[in-house]
Amino acid sequence: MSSEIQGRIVDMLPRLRRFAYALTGDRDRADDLVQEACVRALTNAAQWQPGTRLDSWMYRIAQNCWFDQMRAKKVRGEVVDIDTFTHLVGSDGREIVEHRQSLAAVSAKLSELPRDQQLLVGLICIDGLSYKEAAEALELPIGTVMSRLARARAALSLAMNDGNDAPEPAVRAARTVSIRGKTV
Amino acid sequence: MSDITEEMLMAYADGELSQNERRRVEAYLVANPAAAKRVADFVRSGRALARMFDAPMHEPVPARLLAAVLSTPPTAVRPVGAVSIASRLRALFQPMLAGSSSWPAWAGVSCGLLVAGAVGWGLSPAAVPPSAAVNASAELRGVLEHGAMGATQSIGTGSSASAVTPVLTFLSQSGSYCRQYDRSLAAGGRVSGVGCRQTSGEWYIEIEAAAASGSGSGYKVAGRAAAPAVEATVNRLIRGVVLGPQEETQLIGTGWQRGR
Repeated sequence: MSSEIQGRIVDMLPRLRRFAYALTGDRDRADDLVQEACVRALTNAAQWQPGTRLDSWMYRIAQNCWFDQMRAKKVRGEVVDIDTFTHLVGSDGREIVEHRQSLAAVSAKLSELPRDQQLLVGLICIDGLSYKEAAEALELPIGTVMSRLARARAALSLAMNDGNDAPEPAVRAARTVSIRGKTV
Repeated sequence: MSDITEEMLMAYADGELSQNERRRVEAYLVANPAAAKRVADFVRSGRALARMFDAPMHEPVPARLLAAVLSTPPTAVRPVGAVSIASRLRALFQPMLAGSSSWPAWAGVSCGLLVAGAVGWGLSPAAVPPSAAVNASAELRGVLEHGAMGATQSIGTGSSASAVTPVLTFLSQSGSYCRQYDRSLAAGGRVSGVGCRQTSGEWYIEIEAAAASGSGSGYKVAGRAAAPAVEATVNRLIRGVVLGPQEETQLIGTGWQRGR
């Protein structure tokens, strides 16, 4: 039987996919993540408080799934480390177009952020909520929202300004992510 | 002057300031070019981010995700009135159904995902309702619910992967819609089966049996040989004749609502 919450999650799927894309930087991984998050959410639907925002609750679940997946991947040794990679293809992978590179850099940086900051970027920058709406959704003072968001944005800006400046460790890692996505 | 914080510069970039605050920040920026650069960074890391990851907003949701949501019974949430999912699905499916040429892209998405799906159904046993013996798996259900006649979609992973093709659709004696499908197994072999849609939206598999091998057996459905037992099941269940493609497309589009 279809329930209210299933319907609302169906409505939310495009936005969930976008959020997951921003987290993972990879379309297929994003959809895997959304699928896992949806199943997890529905099997734990009793934990959701009706009247609170379903989207931020779902995003948190997606974040948890993503952290679990990252952990699992590390255990499986799937992640190519940057030194191995540099050795394999040379120090610069110029064949990757700039957009992909900066997309990968941003999502790599985003996935490194503390979860609260990540969620704020998701709700405010990606979903377009106002500071006030996000503060209400997360039950945080608006000042806290702003200071966390500003820190997150400073980190993302560093990742976005990649290319002209000397690569920072995070940015180099991000390149690996995008290239790994291509070759594996 | 110095009371202009990073947060205010960000709020300025995000359009979150009042008129007065905005004027103050603008005056500050004129005198501080370095701060203007930071505002530019905040603009780029702000709502511009949404555009960077926008692609999923402009395309239909993959069938497997819909199937995952619709086939996972939620644990008891306080019920808040019945809501028709069909109407929402219709909205999602409109772009798909507008032109038949959209279907191959849809099927392609599913196949692509299958390859990359390291985290698939295997990790989410909860996706299969408790009565798994008769209930279609979530993915098979997705194909039966949304797949066009003759369109093949890949489901499952590894040795349990298979390619499923709905071959015909009919109304049963009991008034439910049923579909016969064909399924090529990655592990080798081919089965055919019949699933019937329950009013709950689940699909119950009435039968699944190894398809007749070779040709000339006389059991031909839409150009494919079905198992005799499957043919018998169709004959037992069917009321009237099989539905035409247009009728079928319409049913898929309306979430299998009976015409009135």
